[in-house]
Amino acid sequence: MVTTAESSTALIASSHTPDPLEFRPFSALIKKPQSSELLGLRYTAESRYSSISDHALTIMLYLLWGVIVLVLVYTARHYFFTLNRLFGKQRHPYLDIDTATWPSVTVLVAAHNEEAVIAEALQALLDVDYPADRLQIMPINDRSTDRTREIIDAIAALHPGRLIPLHRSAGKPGKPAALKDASELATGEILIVFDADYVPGRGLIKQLVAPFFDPEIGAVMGRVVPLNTGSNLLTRLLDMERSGGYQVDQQARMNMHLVPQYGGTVGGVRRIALDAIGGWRDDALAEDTDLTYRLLLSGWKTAYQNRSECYEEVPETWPARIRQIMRWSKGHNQAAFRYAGPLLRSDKVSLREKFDGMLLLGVFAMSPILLFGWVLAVILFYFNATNWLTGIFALFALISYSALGNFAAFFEIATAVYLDGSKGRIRLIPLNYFGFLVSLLSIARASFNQLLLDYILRRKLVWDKTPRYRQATKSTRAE
Amino acid sequence: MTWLLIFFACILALFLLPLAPALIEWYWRSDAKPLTVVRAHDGNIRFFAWRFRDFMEEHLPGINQGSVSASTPTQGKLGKDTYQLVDSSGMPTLSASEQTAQSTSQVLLGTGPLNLQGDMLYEKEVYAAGNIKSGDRNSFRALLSNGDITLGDACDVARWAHSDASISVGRKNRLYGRVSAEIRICLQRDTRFGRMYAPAIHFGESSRANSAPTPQAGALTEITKPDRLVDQGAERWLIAGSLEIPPASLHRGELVSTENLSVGATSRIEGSLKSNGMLQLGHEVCVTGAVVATGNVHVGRDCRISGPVVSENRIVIASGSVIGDPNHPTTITAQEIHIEEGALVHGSIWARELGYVAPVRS
Repeated sequence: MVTTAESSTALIASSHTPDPLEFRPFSALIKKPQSSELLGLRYTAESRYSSISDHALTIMLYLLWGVIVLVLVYTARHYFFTLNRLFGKQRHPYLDIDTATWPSVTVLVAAHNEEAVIAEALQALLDVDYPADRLQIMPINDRSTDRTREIIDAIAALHPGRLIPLHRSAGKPGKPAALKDASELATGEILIVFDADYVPGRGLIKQLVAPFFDPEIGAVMGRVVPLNTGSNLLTRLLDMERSGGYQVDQQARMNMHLVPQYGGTVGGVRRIALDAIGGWRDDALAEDTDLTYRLLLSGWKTAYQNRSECYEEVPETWPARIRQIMRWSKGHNQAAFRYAGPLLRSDKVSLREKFDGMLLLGVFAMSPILLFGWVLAVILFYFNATNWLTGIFALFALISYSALGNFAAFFEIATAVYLDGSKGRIRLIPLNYFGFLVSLLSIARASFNQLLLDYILRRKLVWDKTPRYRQATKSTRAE
Repeated sequence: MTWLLIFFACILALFLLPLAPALIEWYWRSDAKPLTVVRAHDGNIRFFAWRFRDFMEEHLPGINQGSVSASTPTQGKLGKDTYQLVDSSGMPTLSASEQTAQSTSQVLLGTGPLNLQGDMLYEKEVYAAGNIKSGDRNSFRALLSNGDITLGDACDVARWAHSDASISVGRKNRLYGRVSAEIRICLQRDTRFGRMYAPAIHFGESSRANSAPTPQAGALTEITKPDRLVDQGAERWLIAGSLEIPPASLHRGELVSTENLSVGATSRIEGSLKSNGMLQLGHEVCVTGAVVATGNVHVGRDCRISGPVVSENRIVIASGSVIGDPNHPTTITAQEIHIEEGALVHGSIWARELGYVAPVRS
């Protein structure tokens, strides 16, 4: 039965004349037809204009549905992780291993123009609680043009036999290439990787090595804690974001036997496993993600140690932050293209790991997908295709998304800050939305560049170093 | 115009109102310091004992070196607490009210050995330059001795106990906190424990440990590759599903199973074992590496394990088994650990919820 409202809408559509001056109200102003479909949901879109066909709009409609489903999956994931951290069983199986015959370890410290921070990092490493005869410290000076080389050599001279410096002046630039070269000289059964701005505590090396007594563990990741938190709003927002990433995301993955990610620093890898998968790939922009997935595909697990904490510096300027996240995005997407297929086909990875592994690979793809969804929604709105979602279902969907979906990531961050025992900083949560928007646009731009410009112009993916602030912020922190 | 301005100002205020806490925190920075990471922390079990030693030395210089003595019991202030310097008789002087209440809130500092009567609550730390000997049914906050510590039956230690030599405890003790000794710890039946360290930790009156021969490779049969072997790189077999290793088998390398794993009696594994389920070792099994499981671990009689033993749930170690060795101490860690009398552990034991000295099962 055709209702009066449907008839009038049909009349508007069929009696459409090409008069450009004719006023046509936006679709939102047109009375919606009473839908006979389930919950007021329609499966096709009808165009008001001849410039775009019903068929094209229907395709867009289904694409939008796809985007919505993906957003909902990631929303559910955020909630799943957060609720697990709040109420689930927490796994720290290797935390208590404090007495053992410790394996030999090589600590690799990648350094490119790190004169501001390298001395403190090396001094802290010399002071760790680990048998000195089993600990090799290898600072990798990757073609620095400042005093990095001089500082490393001076410290090595003061501690003969304990520091084995590697000065790179040729070869491929970038951290993966530097690690690759250093690994050939390293003698440790376990390779621990630090960035030059990291200041490890006395017990950290033992904590990071302990999981390797489990023969299933191929890599270990500790927790990174921003040191320059108080510098400005950006560092405070990044501090909370890092909390969410480690305190909730990584630990929840560990709890649920999913895919904790090796993060490239404050972490380690089993040498024999690394060799078995072909060593570091120097063409990987995110060598950490790359390594996580190659190990996973060979049946090795990554363990996350939430209580193995180490300070790092986070970017203090928005341009530096944008460059950092664009590099992460490109590297992550590179890994997604490489390993999504093999992951789905692997017989060494459990179903739950495959599911989580795929979602993790897709994390940085979600920003352009979300933007694409917004564009689709706007097009569908202006071309009067909005009647696919009407009535009470639309109302519920809107309320649910606003109450739950939209805020899932912020709920995660708030939970992390709560678990950390922080009091005042949780109030900054609303301002994280700006950080989120900047990340969204930066990642979308990086993905666009990577998919189109880099490919068409044959541009090579290049390593971009995050600047250090320690000297500049000394006075600030002393206040 | 004025009303229009007021209207827009109100709208703006309304918009900013939910952001007020954030803006206030941004401006006044009440919580802008980095999260605390204690760089000096190395998880040493003796941490509290050493800190107490430093605290005593600060207030009574020379006490740790035994250069402080008392011919008669002496009282004084140690921080906020009252201490009693016990004379060479080794018997603390307790007032009538303390005797009646069966409780003392003095820090007891023995310049030589200390003999503590039973049925008392010692609310503060007890230190002795010599041995500490306690009667039955005492409750302690913390104990520190330069010599041996001997506790009677049914005593409790709430926080920590450390001996520079040995600790020996009777039956049904409850050691809630950290217990460490530089030479040996001996625990009797029905004692509960949490975290312990000593070069040798004996369970029960007479340790049967070391009596069983270690399986030698020559007399054993090398295990064949299982059907569900999905990876054998890096000297490691990764098996999809459960694996049952027959008795008297030999394997060189690591073994990982995605489900349960059992090793038959008198087998020898020259490497580590990992099970993503239950892990069971028959009697007289020798493992030169670690034993790790997400489920329960059951170690049979007279086994030898050189590396750490880790379970995410419960570990049961039968009589006669030896974990670690004097030159290579190791760690046992799980939520719950049951160790039968007659077992011997070299190194650390960390039971997150319950450690228990169980009688030998027949």
